[in-house]
Amino acid sequence: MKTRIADLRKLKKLSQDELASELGVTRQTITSIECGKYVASLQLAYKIARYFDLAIEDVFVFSQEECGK
Amino acid sequence: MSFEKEIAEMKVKCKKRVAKLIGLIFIVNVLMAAQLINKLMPFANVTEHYASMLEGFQYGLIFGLLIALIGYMVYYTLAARRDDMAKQLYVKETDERNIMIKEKAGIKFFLLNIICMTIAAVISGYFSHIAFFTLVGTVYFEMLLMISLKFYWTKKL
Repeated sequence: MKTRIADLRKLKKLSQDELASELGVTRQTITSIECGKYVASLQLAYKIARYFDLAIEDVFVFSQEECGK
Repeated sequence: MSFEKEIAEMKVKCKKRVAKLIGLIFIVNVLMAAQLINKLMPFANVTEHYASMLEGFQYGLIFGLLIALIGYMVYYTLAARRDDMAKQLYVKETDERNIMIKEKAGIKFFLLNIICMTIAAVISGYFSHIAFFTLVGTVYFEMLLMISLKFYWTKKL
């Protein structure tokens, strides 16, 4: 799944470590989500969106193919 | 986001774990003392060469276990006192990706299997050295498999 986390993070001038610490996850989890290797749970997606003051769909880009998987 | 409540809960958990570890260390020490002083059980059907080897394995296992338990005890004692370590431990244990990796690699199943097989290997050593070596070989194979699977899922997720 594509996400805008890396862009949003850069806008806020945050490192992966800092964001991970704010969200209570490991840096590797943030890296994997940014790379699209790992799909965040609804709870974590909500936490990330709330941290950036955005809606989930503004942070995570859902495609039709992914919905059909 | 602040994690004060979670850190406080983790510190309490760490204190409970330290208490359990102290109990385990005591049991292992008693086992070791019993083995050293009285020799719990004589080895049957094995030559002196194998008996000495099996005894060495048992002492090695007990010492290894003791060192690991003491290491964990020190780690949890520090985590129970220091906020940064408690938070680090909390993140490590509750991180959803870590939990998924452990589930996919079947870590709990492997650990339970390894513990049971090691106990079986120690007991079987008293009766047959062939069964002992077979079980120890299987334990090493399972450890290798567990590490490989964890590595695979860490790379994949």
